Amino acid sequence: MYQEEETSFYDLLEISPSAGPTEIYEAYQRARETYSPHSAAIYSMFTEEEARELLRLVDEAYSTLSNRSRKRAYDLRLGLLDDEELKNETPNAYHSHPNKSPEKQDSLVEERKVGRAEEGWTGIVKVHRKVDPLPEGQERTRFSTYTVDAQFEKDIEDVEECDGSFLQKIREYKNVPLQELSEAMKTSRSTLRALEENELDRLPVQVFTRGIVVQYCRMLGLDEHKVVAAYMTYYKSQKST
Amino acid sequence: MMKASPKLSTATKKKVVDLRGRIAPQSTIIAVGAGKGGVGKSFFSSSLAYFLAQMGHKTLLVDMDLGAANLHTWLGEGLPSKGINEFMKDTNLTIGDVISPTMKNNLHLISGASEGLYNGDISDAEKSRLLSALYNYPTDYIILDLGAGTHTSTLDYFLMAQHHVVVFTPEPSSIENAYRFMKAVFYRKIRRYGSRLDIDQRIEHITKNNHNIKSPRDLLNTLHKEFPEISKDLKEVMNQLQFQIVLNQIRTAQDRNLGKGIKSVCQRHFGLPCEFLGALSYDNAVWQSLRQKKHLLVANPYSHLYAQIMAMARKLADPSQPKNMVS
Repeated sequence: MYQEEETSFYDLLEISPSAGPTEIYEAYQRARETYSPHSAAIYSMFTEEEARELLRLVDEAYSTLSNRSRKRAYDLRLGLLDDEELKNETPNAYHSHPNKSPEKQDSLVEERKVGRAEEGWTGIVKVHRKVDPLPEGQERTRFSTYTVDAQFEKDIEDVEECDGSFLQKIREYKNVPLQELSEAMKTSRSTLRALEENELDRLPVQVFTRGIVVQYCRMLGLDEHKVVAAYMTYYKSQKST
Repeated sequence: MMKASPKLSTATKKKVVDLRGRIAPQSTIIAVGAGKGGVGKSFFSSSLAYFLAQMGHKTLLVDMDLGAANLHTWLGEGLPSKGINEFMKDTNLTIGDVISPTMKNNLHLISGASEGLYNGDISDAEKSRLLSALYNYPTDYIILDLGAGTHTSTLDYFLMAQHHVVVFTPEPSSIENAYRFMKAVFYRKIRRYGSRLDIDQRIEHITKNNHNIKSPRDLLNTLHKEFPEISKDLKEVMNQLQFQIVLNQIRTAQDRNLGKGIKSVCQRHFGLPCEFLGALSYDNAVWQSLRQKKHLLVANPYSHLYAQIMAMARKLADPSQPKNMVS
């Protein structure tokens, strides 16, 4: 049918919104060929400038539609997805493991801005997260749940100087396996072990070691400024002797 | 049986008169046009007619290239003794009187050839008589083979059809002319059928107000936005115009993609749905069979073109009508 309004990226690439990645790619290749400056198809129909503008649009369409989250944001903006659909949609791996979620609430609706604002297609995505409630006295990290020990929590809060074994103690208190931590931090187990066993010679230079400790604290949900400062005090005192 | 309503209001009557498309034609009319000569209009229309006839449809092929008619040669027929020319001269004749049979079963021809002083210029009244005679001629398919160029009467013949086939070849000259032809068709359509909607004044109003109009699509969009009251009618009128693109004489696989590209460009430029009917390979068999004075599909049935044209004929043919693929 005759199109009244400004066309969507789907119209531009002549695909349906349900098209899969292969279809989108093929349509993109075809559109690029059609609107390229030397294409015979646009001869005498579009000026070079118009063709360039179209080509830019085609590229933008592909960069949006080929990326899952951007495509979702775009669909949402077009009104192709509604709230109902969002809820029924299969949650992605992150959301389907409530134990892995760092959130404490039972369920929360977050509004997230998606997209690049300067391009003018920023969409707001509502993320529905369902998290199982925990029994009294339990907390969770991104990897595990653990029983809260008020005394130890206080020790962590008051820490002035600590070594690697203290970090290890926190990790074990929070029931986080070294393997999972290593995978999430993209840091080898041997490095983490060296950190926990205070083998400073096997650790990288100071600035990198600090970075590793920062990551370590974030993963465990610690107050990173305090703990990192405490560890670095220890590290520096060891290095200077 | 449906009863005709006893009284038609004047407004309704007027509407029927204004919009020729509202009175159903007695056949499916397919017009084949292109801006440029020599791109294969006659070849395509004769082949298409051949296949439709083969499929068991009664088909009438009309040579509307009045100044330079040669469709009979494409079909391998001799010069018919009568044709459009005779129909024009003698107002007592009906269109049925000037139809000549061909060697192919179900296929009939109206020749446009003339050798007298008469050179194809016809008055509006004559044109109108010819168009309405064709429009009301009962048969399955009428195929109009148009001449090159963008003469007003050519545009009118083209607009009379339900299927608007435009033939391209992959050369820039052909593409340019075909685009020009399509633009001319578009503006003719909007002015002719839009007169009821005061399109002229409205367009003038739009141009005065300095809207940024670069293409027919922009024009339609602006008309819809500025005058929502005519939006529905305009949509109805303009949706009758859907170009079907044929890319003839392709030599490489990339040319096939060009056909799809042309379709995209047309859709974008006109803001109307277009269809890419298909591509036809370049084949020396075409001129060889023409020299033998036989149609390609008779002289060279093993050509690639056979299957390609058959596919297009099937696309165009109405599926509700009987088909017989084995003749």
